[in-house]
Amino acid sequence: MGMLGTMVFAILATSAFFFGAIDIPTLLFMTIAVNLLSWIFALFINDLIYRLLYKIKFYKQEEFRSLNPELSEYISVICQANKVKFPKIGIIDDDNPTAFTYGSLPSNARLVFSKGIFTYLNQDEVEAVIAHEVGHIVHYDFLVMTIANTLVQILYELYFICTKTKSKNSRDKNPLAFIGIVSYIFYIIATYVLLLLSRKREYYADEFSAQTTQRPNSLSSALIKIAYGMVTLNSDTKSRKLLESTRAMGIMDPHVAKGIGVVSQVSGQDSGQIGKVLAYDFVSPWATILEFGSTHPLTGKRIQRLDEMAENFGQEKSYDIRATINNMNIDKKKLYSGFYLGAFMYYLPIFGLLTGFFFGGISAALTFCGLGVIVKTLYKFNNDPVQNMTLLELMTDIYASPAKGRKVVLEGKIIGRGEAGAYLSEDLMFQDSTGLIYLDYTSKFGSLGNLFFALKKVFKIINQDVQAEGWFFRGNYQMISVSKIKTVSETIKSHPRLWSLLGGLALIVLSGAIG
Amino acid sequence: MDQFEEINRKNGRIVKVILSIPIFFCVFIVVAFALYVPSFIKVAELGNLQVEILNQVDMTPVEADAYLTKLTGDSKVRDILSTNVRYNSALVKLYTKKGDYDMAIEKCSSLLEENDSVFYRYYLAEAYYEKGAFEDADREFIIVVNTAPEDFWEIDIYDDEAQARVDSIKIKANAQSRIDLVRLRKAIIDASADMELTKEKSSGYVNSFKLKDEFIEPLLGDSEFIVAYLDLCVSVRDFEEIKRIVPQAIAAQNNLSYHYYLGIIKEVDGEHEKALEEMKAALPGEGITNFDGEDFYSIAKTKALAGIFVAEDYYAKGKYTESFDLYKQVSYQSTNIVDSNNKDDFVCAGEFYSLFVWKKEPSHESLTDLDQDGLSDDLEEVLGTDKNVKDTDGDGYEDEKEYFYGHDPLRKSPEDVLSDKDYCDIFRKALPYFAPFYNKTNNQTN
Repeated sequence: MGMLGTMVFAILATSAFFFGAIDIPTLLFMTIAVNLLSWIFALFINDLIYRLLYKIKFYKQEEFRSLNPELSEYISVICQANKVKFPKIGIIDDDNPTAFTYGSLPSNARLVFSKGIFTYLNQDEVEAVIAHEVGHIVHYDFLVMTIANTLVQILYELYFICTKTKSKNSRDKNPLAFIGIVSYIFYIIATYVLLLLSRKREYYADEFSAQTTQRPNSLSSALIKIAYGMVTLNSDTKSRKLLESTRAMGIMDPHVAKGIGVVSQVSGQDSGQIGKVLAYDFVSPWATILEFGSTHPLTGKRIQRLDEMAENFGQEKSYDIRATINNMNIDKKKLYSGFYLGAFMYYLPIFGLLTGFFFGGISAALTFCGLGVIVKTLYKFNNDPVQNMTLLELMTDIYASPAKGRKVVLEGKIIGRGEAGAYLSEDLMFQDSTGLIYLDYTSKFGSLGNLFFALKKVFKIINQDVQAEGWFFRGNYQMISVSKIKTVSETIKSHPRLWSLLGGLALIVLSGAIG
Repeated sequence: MDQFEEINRKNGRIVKVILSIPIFFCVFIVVAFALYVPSFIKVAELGNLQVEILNQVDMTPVEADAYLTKLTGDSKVRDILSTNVRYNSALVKLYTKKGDYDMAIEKCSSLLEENDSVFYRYYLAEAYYEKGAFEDADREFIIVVNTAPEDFWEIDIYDDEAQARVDSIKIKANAQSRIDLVRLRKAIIDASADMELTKEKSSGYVNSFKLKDEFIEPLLGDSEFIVAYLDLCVSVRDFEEIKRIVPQAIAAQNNLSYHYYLGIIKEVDGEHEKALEEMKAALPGEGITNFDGEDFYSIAKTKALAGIFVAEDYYAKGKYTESFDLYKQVSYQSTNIVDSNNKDDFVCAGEFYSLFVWKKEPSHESLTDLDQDGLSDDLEEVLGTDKNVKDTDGDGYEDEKEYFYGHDPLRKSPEDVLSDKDYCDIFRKALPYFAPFYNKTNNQTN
């Protein structure tokens, strides 16, 4: 959020420069100053945002201790060992399991998690996740990322200044454009380096967690539950009722959970299916490529590293990925032909744009791009027959792709917002008997319809049993773009194709208007 | 190699291929721009030079050529600046200064097709003007004055607001000055051919032109105009102005007729012999046909007047044969240049020429001939014969026949054969008749 804000500032400030309101030293000074300020105020701004837009409550150490003495004691021990202050704790009232931190310095960090982590993770796993987040605090990650982001922004501004500054002489080829384009190239490279840095910080935090807990496998299983969503709840209704009633009282003592037996477990563990879920990250070319654009490493790779650490600690490896993959019957032809066709379709709008531009100028570029968008959309949200599936089955499909959806219908329950606790999020977290997945909802009325849905509808269907129909996608993360959500009382329709198709058509119409 | 490794390698290769596309693209751009870097540096250096060129008023062709080499030496620079208004304007100005007007005009015309910039229009007009195509220049300058923006800061080629202000005033003022000058030129040429012109008007034109010191250089090479202007100067007896203009005009373009005006100056200064030399120099050489009928009116006129001056001198020195020959040539020239719209002048000149040079029965068409002796009443009045009597001297031969056969109709035969001196006298008497422009000029010189 902070990065987005400062990026907006960068664009505004460079525009101000462009109109002659400020000069280059002022601009650079302002960029650094604003990033500095945004880093200083990130804390308050984020606090404000979370308070306003999320169902969140903050607790000081003493308050949290009364809520969950054991976890409080655990955090306190790690913090003391690493000489950081006990962070302020934020708890999001949502069953979607999630945990994160923010702040500007270790001394004023916030550690936020949703109630869902207590539903889906056992105590060891919770500790591992919390240790991972404390790892971010201990490593000064907010500061590192803010500085890196500032540098990237300065490159962007250089590009903007150099290519636009001489525009009073608009008919000239501008010699500074060269520096501009080079800075732009560096800006793009730097953006990817920034992502690489972010992934490195994640590995680093994983390592911290493993070192602190001495149980790398706990984090592994937590990742499988949260990142892959491969979690199943104990069907023992009595224990669940008890759990829910205690949580309603604001108590989240893991002892309670322990008292009622294991609440949740990694689904498909016993049948050896989890290995196949991980296999996707090592086998699918999509996973390999999309990781470059991701802030987090592929979950499979994180688990592999944690396994290596477990071996170093003399513990048992949880998954032998290599053996799993070697034992799998992989149709490489299907894998790669699917990937090449998918990649072609995925980038069709860009191909169309470039081809059109080279052979017929801007108008043709827009037409081809519009056609590309339409074809891509029709391929992505195809009309294949709907299959009745479970999430575990979907997640073990190594041929899954972000370019071509697999049309499925799932039986399960809406457990929360797509983004835990966010009032304005129209997306949902869905759970079936084998796991959790993100449901992407798209209103036919666009963003306003989405907002309306988020505000007026979502809370009604949370905790309802539903049948979700849509397209399953998987790349560096997985989700379902829903087309229908059937509850007991109604059917909610979603229109993921509509706006893409309209966008494609708009481009074609626009090209007609230009040409 | 197991399946795990095999797939890992293959994915690795795909990643390499995908990453190499943008990397190749980057390398391509960097290399392409790196090749252009020296040119960009050069372009930046040329920026000031262009402004300098555009602001420089006096420039010799040699300097212009040196600048051109600097501006067009590098093909990449040309490519980068191919649409730069200031660069192209500087080029056109240099072509013009170098004297390569057609190149300048052609380049400007093609530039104008792509970008109807006021600068291209201005430098096109300037090229036309320098070339001496004053009508084209006038047309383009008028467009410049009418379409130029109020303030050039609106035009996207300036970094400096003050420079834009200066240029918007300068370019419009220069265009207007030249429009005025082209009109004055036309007025002066017309005036010099106007027989009815008053001294006041002539003096007005001369004084207007004297005030111009900018942009007159192309006019100095325009002999039609210069002779017309000098003619006006002679008519208002402004010999100082003639002394000022003639050497400049000769420097710009030597024309035989300028010697006539040098001769006049000498004559006014009392150096008759030197004046005579100049007058002879103004003549096109031996023979009637060397008088070029294609000359501009004003130039043809000066040749005729120079001829009369020399012929008079021969006459005064008793060289009647030479004098007579020259008079014949002058009358030939006169038939070419008298105003063919003025029927009377034209017929008069033709009648005289037929009778005394061509030795043909003259025709006098519209002119009245009361005594029907073949000579018009006007000519009879000039020559002194009686316009009411066919045979003035009463020796039995009609007046026209006597002239035709070389006799004097004022004297009785047989003592009436015309000598060269007699012919000279006839020509001298008849000068206002066959060379109507002589009267005006002659009255004023003496």
